[in-house]
Amino acid sequence: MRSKSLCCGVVFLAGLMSAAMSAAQVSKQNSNLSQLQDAAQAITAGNLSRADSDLQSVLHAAPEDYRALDLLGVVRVLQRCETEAGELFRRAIEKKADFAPARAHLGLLYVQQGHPDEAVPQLREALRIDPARGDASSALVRILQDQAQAAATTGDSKTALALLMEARKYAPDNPDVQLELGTIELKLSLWQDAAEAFQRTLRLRKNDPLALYDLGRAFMGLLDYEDARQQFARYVAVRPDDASGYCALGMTLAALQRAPEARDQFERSIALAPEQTESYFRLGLIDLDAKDLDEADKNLRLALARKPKDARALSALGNVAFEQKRYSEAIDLLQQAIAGDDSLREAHYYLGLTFARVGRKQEAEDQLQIATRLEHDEAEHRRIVFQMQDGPARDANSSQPQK
Amino acid sequence: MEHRSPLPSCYTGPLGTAKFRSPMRSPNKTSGTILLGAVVVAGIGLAFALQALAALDPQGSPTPGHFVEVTEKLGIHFRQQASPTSKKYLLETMGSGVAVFDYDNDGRLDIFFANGARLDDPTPKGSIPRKDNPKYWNRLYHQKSDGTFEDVTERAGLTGFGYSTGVAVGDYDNDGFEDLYVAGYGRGTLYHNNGDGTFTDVTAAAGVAGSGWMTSAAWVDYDNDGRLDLVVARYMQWDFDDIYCGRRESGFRSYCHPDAFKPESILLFHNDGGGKFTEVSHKAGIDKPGKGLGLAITDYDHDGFMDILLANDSMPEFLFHNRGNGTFEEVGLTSGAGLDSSGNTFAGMGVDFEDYNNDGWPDIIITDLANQRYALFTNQKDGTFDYSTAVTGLSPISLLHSGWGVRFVDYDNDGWKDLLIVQSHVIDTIEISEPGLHYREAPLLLHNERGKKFVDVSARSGEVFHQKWAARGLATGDIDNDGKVDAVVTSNDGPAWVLLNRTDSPNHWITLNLVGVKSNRDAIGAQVRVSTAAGDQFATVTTSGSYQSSSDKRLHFGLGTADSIGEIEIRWPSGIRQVLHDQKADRIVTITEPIK
Repeated sequence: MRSKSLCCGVVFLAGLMSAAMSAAQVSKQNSNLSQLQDAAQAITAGNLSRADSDLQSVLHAAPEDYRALDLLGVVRVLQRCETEAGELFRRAIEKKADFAPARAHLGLLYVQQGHPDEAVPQLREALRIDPARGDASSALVRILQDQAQAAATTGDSKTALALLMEARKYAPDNPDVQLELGTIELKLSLWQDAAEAFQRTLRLRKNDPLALYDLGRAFMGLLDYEDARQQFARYVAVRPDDASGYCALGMTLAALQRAPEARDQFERSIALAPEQTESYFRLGLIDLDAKDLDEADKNLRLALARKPKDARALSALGNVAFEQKRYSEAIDLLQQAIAGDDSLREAHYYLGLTFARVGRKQEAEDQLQIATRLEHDEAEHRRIVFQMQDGPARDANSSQPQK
Repeated sequence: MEHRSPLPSCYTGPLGTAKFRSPMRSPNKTSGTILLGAVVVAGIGLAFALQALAALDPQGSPTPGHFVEVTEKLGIHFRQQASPTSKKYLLETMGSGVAVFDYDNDGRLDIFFANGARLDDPTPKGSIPRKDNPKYWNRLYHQKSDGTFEDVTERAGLTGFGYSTGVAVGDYDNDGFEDLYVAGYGRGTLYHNNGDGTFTDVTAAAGVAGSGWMTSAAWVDYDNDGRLDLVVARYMQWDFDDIYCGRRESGFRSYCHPDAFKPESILLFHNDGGGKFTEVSHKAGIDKPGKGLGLAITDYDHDGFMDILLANDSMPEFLFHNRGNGTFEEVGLTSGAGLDSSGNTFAGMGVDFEDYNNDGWPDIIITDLANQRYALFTNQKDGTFDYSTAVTGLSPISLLHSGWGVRFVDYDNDGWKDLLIVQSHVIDTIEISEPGLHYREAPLLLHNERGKKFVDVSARSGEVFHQKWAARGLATGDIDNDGKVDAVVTSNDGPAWVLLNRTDSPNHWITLNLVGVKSNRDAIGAQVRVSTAAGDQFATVTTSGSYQSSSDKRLHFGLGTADSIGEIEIRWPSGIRQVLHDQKADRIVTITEPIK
């Protein structure tokens, strides 16, 4: 939640601007109400007593004048008489339900008072009536961002997504909203949507390093390795001292089967952050692919030295032992890996193969079945994600557009 | 170990643990631990040395191939009719195959093309498509003495039935003339070669019509009784249902993923003799449901009985090990040939089962879709296989390609089997949904670097390797008998191409035409070892492999600099072992199985 002082400042400034706007509207609508205009100008000039006097005069003649009620509410806010201000805004709304300024001012007042939940409906209504109200949209977007962050913190990503999508509706050119939306979409594996959000962020804020990095991740999710590589290359150009960037760049190169270049990037990452585990692990995988089993063993053990229970590294080391026909050790390592993460498909697969090699047929079949089920589940998950991205028009029989 | 779709877990490293409000994320620091995230994603002798040098061009790079497309010049004008519809029936993108064989025993290879049929738009469920126009006919082209071809389809009686897919050549009745099995959607057809240039549809009498969506077929004598049996792969339980796949936007409708359909079992027809077959799929234990596209046969474990490999689409590949008692055990997963090195399935399509590293043990190549890499499984000589795609250099070569027909062929006769692969994505709108991929693709020619690596020589191997085709079927054979293996390629809803091998190589060769006596007359299943000063090579007689296609049964061996062969050892399916010594190179030799 944002600090109250910040909110007060927002309301204060917003109140002044709203008062001026109201005055302008008043002068155009009814020149006979010059007193209202004078009051608005007085508010803008900071002459609250004069504004108060003018508005009291108007209300004396016309107690139901919602514009005067609203402006007087602004004066009371600035005078820190919030309770009375709230009452005046509510009265104005009572008199004219579709009067956007009063809705906006009441919403801003709620924000100032630390009641964002009460502010939201007022701000939404103000924006429904007058979509151009910058004060309302700015405040509402900030509330939505805060609520989304709170939801994301509790693991409620879908609520966070809905809130940020609404925030984006009100603030399409806000790079932070785009970035946050992309982040939550990435978390939900909505790769295409995330990629678009990060691309919009980058249009609004060129070379934003976080957007570049996350755009790379989104492209990886889309299996678009080349575009991912390009983003990570841009990222390391922006942040040349970040080990994570080289590691990510290495991963895209590895996915593109450009092993020598991938190796270079992992080694650069290690040079910047020698205590890490990820790049050692990735180097181990490259070595394993190349059947350089001794080197793979060395790198994977370096990863495990830093994180002894890492299931992936244990699994890969089990794979090395399998390749070296050290089946007993392979079984031990792969079982450790599965104990750490029983959804690790490769560990089940190689444990199944290892059991098969040592004649433990039933156990082999059990493990291989688990591996294929996990693989199928992953593929199915990916298809569902793609279907979600294709939109709600797809029917139940639809499937991903692949063979 | 290769990994698919790794999301950079480095993300959780120095930048902080994915703090939500981006402006508040700490600037990067390089200290601290980069955490591990979730895995998503994968003694040469002098002669040998000389041979290796001979295989290299002056620049030190592998000898490129030189394949010349001569289809029209040879008088071949075939065009496969896929009958594309707005409904995107999967059948219409899977193509039809080709056979290269000598049907009239004149010593020259002839060519048979399978063809599609009319599909209405929409086609009613339960329909069997019709060849109601000559453009849908299958075609047989006879090679004349001048090397050109003539269309003899009608005279031969091979116009066909229904939507034809695969084709398999084999002399099932051992009468000395090659017969044809044409697989199709709904029904397969067995054509008996009458020996006079005509064929007779004997499907009903033989009992091999099959059912469902049949794809590749193979002739194999699985019980070594001297008669060829028939194996037919089936793709899926599929009909002309109007299933919408892809985005609901104009131009985005797509062919459905196979996961939308149930698997279907392979068909095994035992040859009972007298022109009769019995379907024994269940009895033989080979009826495990799969999504079969490619078929290849060999005796991978040297136990004297032919085994069967089925390339499945998007599920584990099947390796049916022949127990030798008339039954099979499916060992794809446990042998290590079922999945890639990360335990992932892939879209298996074309397949070949030959010994690429000259160690005497057949290895497996399976083509698949882009972003999967072609799967090379090296035989470990103990009944298991090792996924060798990465270590042989195939990963970067094949990552963005989609392959169908595939053959191990020694295009430059250097004594090492190279890879010829024809390519295309399965989805004709792939460029829209995945801009980095392409529907039409050029073929791929990969040079075998002494069984260690494959090197892409396509770019330097002739214009055909720069032409983008929607290729499907591929059959190989020495069409002009010049000692270099040629190829015929089919495309989906497009023309076929005859590619003559004009590779500039001084290397020697020999082609063996085996004739069985006690064994099946085609000698399918015979295992041959050819020994020269440079070492040994091995091959198994078969017409199967690739995708829905049938290749010349003659065995072709490149011999490098060797102009003679010290020893040829043949292990006939009957169990008879035959050894020939000191054979001259550069010729086609017919070898008949000895009686004893």
